[in-house]
Formats: sequence, structure tokens, C-alpha cells
Amino acid sequence: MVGAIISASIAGRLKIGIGKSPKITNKTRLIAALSGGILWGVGTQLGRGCTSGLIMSGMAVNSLSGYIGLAAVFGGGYAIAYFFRKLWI
Amino acid sequence: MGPLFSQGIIGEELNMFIGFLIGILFGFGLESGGFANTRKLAGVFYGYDFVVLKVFFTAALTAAIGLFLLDRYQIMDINLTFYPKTFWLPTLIGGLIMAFGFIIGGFCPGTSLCAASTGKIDGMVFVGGVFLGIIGYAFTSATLWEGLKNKGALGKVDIATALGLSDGLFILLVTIVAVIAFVVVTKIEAHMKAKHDYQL
Repeated sequence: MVGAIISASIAGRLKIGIGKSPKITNKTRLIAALSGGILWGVGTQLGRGCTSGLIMSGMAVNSLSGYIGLAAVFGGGYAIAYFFRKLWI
Repeated sequence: MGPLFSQGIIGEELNMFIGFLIGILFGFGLESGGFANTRKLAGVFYGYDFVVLKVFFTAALTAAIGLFLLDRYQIMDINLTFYPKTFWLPTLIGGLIMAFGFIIGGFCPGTSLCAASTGKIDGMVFVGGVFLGIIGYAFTSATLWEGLKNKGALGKVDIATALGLSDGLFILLVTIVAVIAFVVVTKIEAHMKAKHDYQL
């Protein structure tokens, strides 16, 4: 958080706002963000880590679990992206 | 020599302090790479922005190559670092749940903290969701998840060894795949940007 604030303030990106596709409402975006967060909360507990702790750290030491996480998160993401395209494009 | 903490070369206070400094660098890197922008993150899955894929693989492979070399030069014992045990089934299912979280929520936990701390309301809401999810998991872990969580236990598995390759060759192959992927996704991105008008 400290590092992100330093970087954003240097680059002039430190401002309040909602990041979203211009085609959806703020309410839709915030409900989606909350739902996505809840899913991550459950997934990280079951899968023993997130993108950083499971996948990136796992890949750094050639661990099988990191690559399983990579395939599941990114492979799964590409597999379902089409069904949620209205949120983004 | 390394890792420093697990061999008792440095104490817990210094370890935490070094962790804090590295965390600042990590947050700085994430934010300057564009990871606080949910549109950029989602772009990976829809083909209009692949910066995240490039930064992610560059970081993971730099760490893998660095750790491999430090281990070979006997500067760092890779077995004493954070080396996760593999539980393939819960990691696979948890990973798929995270995939839904990624596509729907547009962040992963680390990037949502960057977004939240730099003023993105959707990032703050996402962080709240992560807490709710973890609390929900904690309350239901004994009844719903405990059996699944420890299934598919394989211990510490090195993917290169499992494939019958040396660690160095495996890292080289992944690096070659990543370089090819970078070239391909750059072409896809240019094509998608020419065809559609995506606002970041």
C-alpha cells in the first residue's frame, strides 16, 4: 500500500474514482467487485494462496502447486471470460 | 548463506523491516506497471491490453532464474525458502474459484490493495469482499471445506523433476515460451486496438 501510494503520487494517479468499463453503471461495477472479492477470499483459503503467494512465488521455485494455480486461474479466466464480457467490453 | 531469516542469521525484527521495504518496492512496481487499473487487468482476458501478462511473467521468471542461479552458486539454499507443498485438488478448485473472482471482480488481492490505497472505490469494495470471503470460509471450513482442503497431497513437488527435466532446462523452456507469447500477444493487442475503441 505504501509503495503503491508513492508510485501513484509521483505519476499523478492518486485520485478517488471507480475503474470500470464505460458501458456499465457504478452500481454494477461495485456489486461485481464485491462478488469477485468474496470469491477470491474463499479461493485463496482453499487453494493456499493468491496470484502472488501461490502462483508467482510458486513459479519462482519451480513448484508444481504454482503451475497448477497458474493453469487454474488464468486458464479458468480465459475459459469463462466470454460469459462475463459485458462487464468489460 | 541465504535465506537469512530461516537460518537465524537475522532476527525477526530485521526480517520484518526488510519485508516492509521489499513490500514497498512490490507495491511501487505493481502500481507503476498499471496493476491498480482494473481495466488493464481485465484486458489480459479480452485481448486489448497485455501489459499485466508481460509484467507478471517477467517477474516470475526473473525470480525463478535468480533463485536458480543463487542456489547453484551456493549463495541461497532454495529448499529453505518458501517452498509450497502441492495439494493439487484444492489448488485446482480454489484456482477456478479465483478465476471467477478475477473475471467478475477485475482484481486479485494484491492488485486490489494497490487500487484501494490509490483511491479506487471498486478496489476498496473488492478488499472488503476478500475479507468477507475469508471470514465466510473460516466459519464454514469445518463443515464445508476441511475434507477437500487436504485432498491430493503430494508433498513438495518440483515441476521440472516431475516432468523428468533439470530445473535449468525447465526454466529455459518457460522463458522461451514467455518470449514467444510476448510477441504473439503484442500482435493480438495491436489488432484488437485497431478494431475496437477500448477506453482504459
